[in-house]
Amino acid sequence: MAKIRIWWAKYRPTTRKLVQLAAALLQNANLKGFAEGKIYTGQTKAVCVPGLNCYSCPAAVGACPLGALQNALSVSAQRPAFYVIGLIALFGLLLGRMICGWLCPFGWIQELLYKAPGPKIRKSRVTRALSWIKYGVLAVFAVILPLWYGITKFPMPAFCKYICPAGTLEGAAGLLIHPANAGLRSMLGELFSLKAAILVLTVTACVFVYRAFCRFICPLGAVYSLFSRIALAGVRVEASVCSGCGACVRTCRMDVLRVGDRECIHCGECVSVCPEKAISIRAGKLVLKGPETGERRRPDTKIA
Amino acid sequence: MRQRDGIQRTPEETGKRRAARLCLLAAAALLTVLGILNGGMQDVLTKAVWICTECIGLG
Repeated sequence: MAKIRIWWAKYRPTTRKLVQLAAALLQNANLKGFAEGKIYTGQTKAVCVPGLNCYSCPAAVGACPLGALQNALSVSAQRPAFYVIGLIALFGLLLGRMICGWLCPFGWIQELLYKAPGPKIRKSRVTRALSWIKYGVLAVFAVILPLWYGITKFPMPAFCKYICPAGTLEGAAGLLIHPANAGLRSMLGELFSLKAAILVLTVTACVFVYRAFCRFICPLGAVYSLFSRIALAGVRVEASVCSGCGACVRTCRMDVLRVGDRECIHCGECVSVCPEKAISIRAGKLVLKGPETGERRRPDTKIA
Repeated sequence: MRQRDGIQRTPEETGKRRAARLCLLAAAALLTVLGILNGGMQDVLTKAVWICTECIGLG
């Protein structure tokens, strides 16, 4: 009994892990879609979910904000993309990159992959430099190409089509394995090979590099990072208490230069390592997680 | 790496940030409503209820 208690104390899921699981299940509540080999067609699909979640996943009950953005930009000559841009702005202003750390199903999948045994590549100046790539992916694949193709030729969600591993994992894998979709399988070609290769690369990278896709490629993370200074909810440092020791930045697995900057996903793991107890997660004046809430430290965290 | 966020924000700066956030929230909400009225929400629904062949690698 004591062994079970010790094991549970070490491995019991944190609040964040439970929230991530709940968010993934809520955004993918149509589990019978996998059994039927069909996607959900209900009215809730008119609303974008906050994280990266392909709307061709059989279980998805909402629309992917990134896919919706690209499609809206593709037809923006006929109809301005007010709805999707307004929704994404609302998400960003309210939660910012806390969405990445707490609500994004694909972010959660990457964290699970990182738990696989293997050497881990620590963050460095190189990874910090690589984190700028996602802004280029956002600009070119999620904005410029859909706009240009939409104006000159036909709607094309370029990021979804050429890069997005979430679409391949959640949408393609979920639909194509079903016997009823033999017709879809017969249409597979070079594009699918490219996307499958990108998925394999992403999954492999995530085993060795914490949240590799989030940090280096995800355009949605790039969008939400633009709201890092102004989002209502997120990690806050009490300036009058902070000693500048840097334990939070050293412990953080993202490429932050300071807590709460554009690379911070507001996971709150720094809250428990701050020796001055200067860090908390807040939404306005409301403290969601702070030193006074007694949150458990990650088992492998060492205080620097 | 040193935690550099020791900036002591004055109440005025915090107030400015709060005001900016409120204005942007209002603008975002207005955009969303305008988007619903101009048919943008229907576009999202129309796209999302059909299999996205680009997303699953069929082009």
